[in-house]
This record gives sequence, structure tokens and C-alpha cells, in this order.
Amino acid sequence: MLKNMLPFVGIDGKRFHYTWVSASEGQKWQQVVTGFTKQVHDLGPLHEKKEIAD
Amino acid sequence: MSTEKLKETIQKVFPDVETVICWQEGFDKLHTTPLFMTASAQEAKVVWNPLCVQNLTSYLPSMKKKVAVVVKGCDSRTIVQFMEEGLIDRNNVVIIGIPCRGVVSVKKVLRAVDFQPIEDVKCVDDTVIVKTASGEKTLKVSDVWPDKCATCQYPTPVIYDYLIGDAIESDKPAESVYEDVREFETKTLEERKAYFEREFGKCIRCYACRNACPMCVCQDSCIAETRDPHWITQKLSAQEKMMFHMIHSIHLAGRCVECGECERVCPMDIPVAKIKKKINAEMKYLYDYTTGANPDDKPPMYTFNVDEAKIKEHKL
Amino acid sequence: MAKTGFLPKEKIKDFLDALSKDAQVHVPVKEGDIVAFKPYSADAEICLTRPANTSPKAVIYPQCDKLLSFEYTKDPEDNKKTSITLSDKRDYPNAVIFGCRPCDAKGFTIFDKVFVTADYVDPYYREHREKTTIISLACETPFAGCFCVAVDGGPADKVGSDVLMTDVEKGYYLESLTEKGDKVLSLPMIQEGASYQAAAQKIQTEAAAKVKNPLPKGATEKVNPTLFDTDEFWQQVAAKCISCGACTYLCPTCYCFNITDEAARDKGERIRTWDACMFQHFTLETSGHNPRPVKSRRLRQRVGHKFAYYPEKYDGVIACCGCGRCIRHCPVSVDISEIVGYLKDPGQDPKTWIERNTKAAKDGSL
Repeated sequence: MLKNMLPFVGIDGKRFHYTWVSASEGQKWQQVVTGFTKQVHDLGPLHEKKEIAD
Repeated sequence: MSTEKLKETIQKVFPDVETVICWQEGFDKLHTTPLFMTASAQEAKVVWNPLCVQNLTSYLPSMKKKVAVVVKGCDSRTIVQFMEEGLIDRNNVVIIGIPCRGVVSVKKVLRAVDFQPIEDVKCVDDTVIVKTASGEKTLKVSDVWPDKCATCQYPTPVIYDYLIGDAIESDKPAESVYEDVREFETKTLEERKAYFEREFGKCIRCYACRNACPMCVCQDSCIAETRDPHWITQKLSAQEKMMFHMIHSIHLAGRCVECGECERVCPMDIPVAKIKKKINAEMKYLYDYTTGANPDDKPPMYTFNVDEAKIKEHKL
Repeated sequence: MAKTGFLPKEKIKDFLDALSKDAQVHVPVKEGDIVAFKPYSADAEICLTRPANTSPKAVIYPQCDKLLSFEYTKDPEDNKKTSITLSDKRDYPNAVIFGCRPCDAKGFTIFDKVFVTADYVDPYYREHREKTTIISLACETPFAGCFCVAVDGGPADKVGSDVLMTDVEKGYYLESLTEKGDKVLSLPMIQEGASYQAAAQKIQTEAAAKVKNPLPKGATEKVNPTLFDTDEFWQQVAAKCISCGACTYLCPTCYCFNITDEAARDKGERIRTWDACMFQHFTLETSGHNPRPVKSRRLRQRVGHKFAYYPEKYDGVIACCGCGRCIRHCPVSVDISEIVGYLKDPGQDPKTWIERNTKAAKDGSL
């Protein structure tokens, strides 16, 4: 549901990832985090950094 | 005449309850306001017409004594949802249901008369006749009603102890309810983002939408205001405002009864209900669940099934 | 003799452009169905035919104002030592508020008494205030909820403005009320105004007659102290309130605030943001105790502050300008003028009120 709500408000669904990783699956955890981090970085910043708006 | 029958019923019910929550004339001809009737003589002030827009059920969870409340169809769904979530004691509420053919949106009426000061308003059948300095204008209720009325599936209250008048069947197709969501989804991702940033950038974080929401019962310890932990900043960017609105909408997943109060009360005219409608559309698709329809329903966010019909765990 | 002038309607854009040369000009802009104060831009759709939804309060008293920024640095020699650098550099621009109403301008005078006193000065407020020029537009007709005449105000009230404009068809008759106003009237597109004075006077007088005073005849100057302290009265009038902050945030005279430190790792800012006494947690103390846990008490405080405590402290000045925004935009139409009407009704007897209006209004939820 969250996964479908985000694109609705204009946030690319690829910025959200949801998966199970058990505490003993160290290698899988590393892969998930590295892969997802790269995926989000490739998408670029979501918003321009803004100071306190008017 | 509905108003007379309503007053009769209220008089009948009044001795057994602490207060009757109904509507009375407001500060000007275009507005009504809730009446917490606590004296028999106040029954003369009771009104029922398309100006009765407020959802009076939002007061119920915090009222400890026995009360009576007048509800339209949309309002009655709130009571059913309260029952599903155990937020009220059904024995403590006397429900006076009143079938409704639609109310007006004050904002749309004002727009129709170019925001001129209103001198008089008369409700005649399915029209409202509005008098301003430039004369009288007759408006069809169906031209100035809020979006929720255009797709109303529950013109007759779904639960009541007394029904004022005959039940009305809905003449609006069920598929129309989420048509606005589907239409919005035809826009591109960038268009949607720009829309939300522009609209919700107007938000002044007054929390009128949150407080008007009958289902929002944790308003007094709201995540949007906590400093410890500090979930949401108090700064003014559109992102932060969106955070509040997104969180609020998610907290209402499977709970929002689409009473439209959030949008009605926004002083900045923001389409506050948009995200909630999208989430409700998801609820309908994923779990075939409609909020506030049946008191024996279990809200999907309250239950857990190992296998969900429409969610393919490993392929999502 | 105060300086006067005339601004032809076709010269408004030139006028605003000229003001924009050394100030940020804020104008009421139509955005969909609402009118809100926004920084002036050439393509802004300025709307002067009705009061703005929001007050121009945020120009002088921002909803979020940075008070200072701070940064922690660890001593590279001894990582148990941390030093902190504070910076409260302020660089507020000059500002002009154009096209607000006299009630909006009056709101700032309520702030002045509190924020700039003989003993204490709020430097942030003072700097914003001194750098802002206020050009108000006199009202020709009241809107729903307006009651300025009941709180020592009026549709052409001069209190708080630097310049008062009156619409005289072809343009605006301008009256300068301060030195800042004189500067505005010396701009090149401002023509001689004396010939329009009579017309402006007529419009102002007619407008004042149109505003209805909602208070009862013979309204007392002070609120009835017995009724003010009657719990059942407040439970009844506050029953429909939903404790949001719409009234407070839209009010030109409300000034309560919160101060929060917001930091990420070693850098952060201390910000002041608007707060509302109507919120459930407004008076929540760190002990966990909340002296005003129920909305009847909170509404009593709000009305009391504006109509009893503030006037008592500041020579009878009422901390309400009668703009009516709280009434217009309240989700349930709580009407402060109606409540004050009860409190200032010379014939009001608290005992009769309780008998007439309450069954057994002791439901603790209120």
C-alpha cells in the first residue's frame, strides 16, 4: 500500500524497498543495502535543498 | 416536513440522553454550526438543510455519557467504523439518521457568487438561493456540492435508531467513487510531484484537517508535534508539510470513511483528501474492504492473514 | 496636515515595481479560491476585492524564524572536549505589506506592546517591524464575521498603518500616517490627492455605518467576571470546538510561539515557530502535568487573553481586531463575537445562563 501511495504523490517507487533479511543473512543484507543505496543515488536528489521557506 | 419530524424525534429522545448533537443556524446565512442541545427549549433552533455540512460524530469518542447524534449517510459510516475499532460504546449513542440528497460546499457557493458578502440564503428543494448585493442567484445543490456527494454510495445512514423520512437509494455508480484517483494517475510522475508540492506548500500546519477527522483519535499526542522523538521538523518546506500529510493519511489506512471533513475545513483550500482517497482505493483493491459499511467487518490493518489474495509476497 | 496623494489604478504595477527596488513587497494574491499574502511578482494575480484568507502577520512575524544557528566541533587533541559556535547573524530585508486591511495593520500594534517594551526587546521582531512599511486598504463593505467596530476599530481605522488607501474608483486616495508613509507618497507616480479627499471621506463614513456591531446594547466595558469563571458556560460554548489552530494561525493579533532546537549531528538551528493555545498540549509541562487539559479551559483562556487579561495589562486595549477570520474559517464556526456578547451583556445573570443552557453539563470530556 505504501509502495503504491508514493508514486501517487510523485515519489518514484524505486526509492522504496521492502524485504525480509534475517540477522544471520549477513551477505544478503550487504547486497540489499549496497544495491538499494546505488539505486537511490542513481535517481538523484528528490528535492532541491531549501533553507527555511518564506 | 423533515425538519419538523427531526425536531419531534429530538424532543422524544432528549429526556434519555445528556445532550443531543444536531445543527443550528450559524454566524451568517450560509453557515450552520453544531448545537449541543442541553435544554428542551433549544429544540426550536434545530435546522436540517443542505447547509448542515459538519460531521457531528467526531465528538463521540470523547463523550462519556449517553448522547444522541443526528447523522447523514456519510456521518453514519463513521459510527460504524468507531464500532469496528471499539472506539465507542454503542449503548451510549442514540443515532438519529436522516437520509440526505447532498449538502453544499460553502467554498463552491462563495465561488459561484464571486466571493461577495452574502446577504441571505434560502434552501428550496434541491436548490439554494443566494442573495448578494448584485441580486439573487439560484444554485442547484448538485452544482455546488463537495466532491464526496457527487459519488455518494450511502445517502441513507447505514445504522440508526430512528430514521427521519424514507430511505434513499444511491443513483451514483460504484465505480465513480475512485474515478478521481484514476484520473490523477494518468498524470506523469513529475506532474504529480509538482502538484503536491504546489498544493501542500500552502499548508500552514494548523491541523484543522487532523482535528476535524473523526477517526483521528490520537491528535493529542500527534507525531507531527512531538519534540522527543523529533519526527517532523517545524520548518516550512513543502517536503515537511507533505511528511505530515502522508503520515496522517497512512495512519488512516483502512480507517478513513471519506466524510470529507478534512478538505472542508482547510482554510487554505488544499485537496487534503486526495492521498486518503488513493489509500482507500488501495484498500478496496487489495482487501475488498470498504470503511464504515458493516459493524462486523474487521479493518484490514487490524488483522493479519498469512496468505493475502491480492498480494504476491515474493513478486511485489 | 498629513501628506496625501492619489495613485491611479493603471499605475499600481509601476508603484509596486518602484517599492520593490529596495524592499520585498507582499501583496494579497489569488491562488485558486483563496487569497494569501505572497511576495510580489509581475505575474501575480493581486486580489483587493476581499480580505485575504491569511493575515499578513507572517511578513513581520514569520511562522518559522531562525533565532540562531549552532555548530559543535570536537577538539582534535582531546575528543572529550567539544566547543560550540553560535551565530545569530540576521539579515532581514526591507519589506512592504501592500493591500492589507486596517484590522490587519492594527494587529501589529498588539504585538508591539508585548515584543518591544521598556525592559525587554525582542530583537528579531523589532528588526522585522522597523524594516516593514504597511500600506492598508480601507474596506468598503464588511464580510461575514467582520466586527471591527465592536473592538475599537473600523473599516478605515488608521492605527498601525503607514499609509491608508481608499478606493475612489479611478484610483486610490492615499493618506500618509507616518514618516515611512511620507516616503511612499514621494514616489514619482503618486499624484496630488487633495481633490479626492471628500470622496474618500464619504466612502469611509458609509463603510463604518455598514459594519454591524454584534455586541448587545449597552455592552459592558469589562467581561462579566462571574460568568467568565463559570465552568458550565465555557463547557457549553466550547462543546463544538475541535482544538485545532486555525483561528490562532489566521489571527492578526495572536503571537504565542514555540522555540525548538533542530539539529542533525553536529549542526543545527534554534527556530521560533507559531504555537496555538487551542492545541491540547499547549500548556503541557515537562513534569507531564497539563493545567489546561480540556478545551473549555483553553477557549476560556483564548477569549480571556484577548478581552480581559491583555486590556487589563495594556490600558484597555483589546487584543482582537475584529477581522472575523477565526469565525469564517473555524471548522465548526465558533463565534468569538457571540461569546464576548454573552460576557459583556449587561443583563446576563450567570445563574440564569446555567439554568437556561445546561442540563447537567458536567461531562468531563469538555
